[in-house]
Amino acid sequence: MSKQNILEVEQLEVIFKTRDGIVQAVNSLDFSIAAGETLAIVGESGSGKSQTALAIMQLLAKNGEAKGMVRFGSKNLLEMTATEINEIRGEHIAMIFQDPTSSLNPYMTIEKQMLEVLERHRKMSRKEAKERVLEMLSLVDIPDPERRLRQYPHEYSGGMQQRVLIAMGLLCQPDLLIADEPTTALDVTVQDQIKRLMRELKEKSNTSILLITHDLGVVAGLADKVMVMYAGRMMEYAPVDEIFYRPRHPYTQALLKAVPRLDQPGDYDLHPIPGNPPNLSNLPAGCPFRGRCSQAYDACIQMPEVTEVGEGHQLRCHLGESVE
Amino acid sequence: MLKYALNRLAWAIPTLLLLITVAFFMIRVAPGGPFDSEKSLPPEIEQNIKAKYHLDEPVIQQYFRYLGQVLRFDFGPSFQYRDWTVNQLIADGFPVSLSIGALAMLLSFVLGIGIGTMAALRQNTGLDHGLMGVAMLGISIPNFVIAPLLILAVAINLGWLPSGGWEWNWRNMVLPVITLALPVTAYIARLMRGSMIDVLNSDFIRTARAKGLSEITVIRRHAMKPALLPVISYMGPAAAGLITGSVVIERIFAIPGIGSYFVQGAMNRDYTLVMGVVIFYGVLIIAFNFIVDLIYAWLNPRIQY
Repeated sequence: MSKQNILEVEQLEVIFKTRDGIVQAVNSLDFSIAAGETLAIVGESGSGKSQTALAIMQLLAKNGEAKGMVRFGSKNLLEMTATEINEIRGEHIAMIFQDPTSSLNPYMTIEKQMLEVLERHRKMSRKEAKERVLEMLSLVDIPDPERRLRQYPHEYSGGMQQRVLIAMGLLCQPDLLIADEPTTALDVTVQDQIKRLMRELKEKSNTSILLITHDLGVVAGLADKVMVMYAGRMMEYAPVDEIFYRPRHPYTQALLKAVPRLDQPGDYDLHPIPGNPPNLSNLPAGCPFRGRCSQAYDACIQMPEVTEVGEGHQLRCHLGESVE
Repeated sequence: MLKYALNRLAWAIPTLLLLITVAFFMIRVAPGGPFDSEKSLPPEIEQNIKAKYHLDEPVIQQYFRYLGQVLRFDFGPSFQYRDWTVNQLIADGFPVSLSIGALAMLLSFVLGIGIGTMAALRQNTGLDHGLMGVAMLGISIPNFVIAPLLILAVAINLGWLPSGGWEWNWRNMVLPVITLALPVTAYIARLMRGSMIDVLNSDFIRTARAKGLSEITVIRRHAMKPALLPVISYMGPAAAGLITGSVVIERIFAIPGIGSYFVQGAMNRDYTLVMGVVIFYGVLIIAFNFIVDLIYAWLNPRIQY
């Protein structure tokens, strides 16, 4: 892709020191996001996708530590001081979270919570700031924003709370919006509204999006590129059409097959992936997926290298190597 | 809101009635009476005294007579301090108790919140463990142990402050206020630490950090209020604790507050004095809890009465 990359992640590692020992949540991860591009990271719970997002923003829990390179502009976000990262947060990179109800401060009005972003990053009068806030709220379809501003989060529905959080994230027109499972905690009809809203925003603005999700439906509608993660590692990384039409990794194939399809008559069965994700504090040697893989063979005792199997299509699997 | 307030006030009436009833009969069940003494009085004189204070009537009649008095805010004459009414004694002692109690409350609120917040921000460090260890001691050691130790160290050995007695003077207040405030400070500190740690781990704090706010702003603007809520709701019982705590403290430091009168009244079977102080305490505690609930509702937008 010829576009300028706005975020480049190289050899990202995230470890947590826990009572049961060291947990490696993310392991030698490489990816990049170009301006205006949407990258979706998909995987099961515990695959390290959320920790990747938090590591970028230096928002890991206290016992977590991130190593490697997260290049944003000319700097490594991971090496920034608290003051430096605070200049980035909210202004250049905004983040929205999984559970909108608990992500808004219940003791502050929506107005205060939104205005403080502009107070922090923009020199504008209170009146201008309020106008900007109202403009963003209308953009995300909050009816009667003037009145809604004075309310507290509990007076909003879950879907409206998430829309407020999206509006809040976009106040400073960030270069990158990190959306960590933005639809997971919402019910299905509301999920659909949020998906549509995000698609609209993506078309209207040039903001890049890092979308963390396990909902392949969201991925299909929004993403340009997809990275499939498993046990803290990249398994497959490719343009969205490649992932959906030519998935190479058995894990990706299994994930796609696990999505219930209503458009194929006669096949209403669920196809779950057998077994559970491995314990991150005690990973077996070799490919982490081999225990659950239907196509595992002798070579899988060794950790497969990442290979290029097509235009921008990377794969961590011995099956890919043998084809070449 | 107004409806809630009126409702709460209405509930105070049966609460107080129950309190009066239980206290009235309990003090009369206690052995001995107000006019028992070493040498027995001639029966005629004893009869006269009892008649004067209506102690010769059946207890039930005394009870209703007393209720009638209370309705007129008249707690009657003290049996022991013959020239004083109970109202006068309370009016005399309350400013003293109030100033010590209020100072102790203020001190423990400010210190407790400060210490608790500091410990929470340095969670699991030496500072945190040190502060919480001291707080645990503060909670566990009863004030009738702390008070003599403080008197011994500060008043007797160092000679910096008087060991007791009362004048309207800060020197007489320091030791009693510290003794009273210590356990409450310790409790608030532990409460504050816990709630601050909880709040700092909540999702909305992560959102606040993701906005690029400095850590100080995050704590001041986003974490402080929710972290304070458990402390606020403890303030009602804490006020009650300070009031009852002062009963012992006033005795040890020889301070002429209501606590002292209460203790003396109980020893002397001064029925009216004990009853008066019990009712006064009861009203205070109900009022404190009421005020605390109002503050709580005011701080928390999700509560609507």
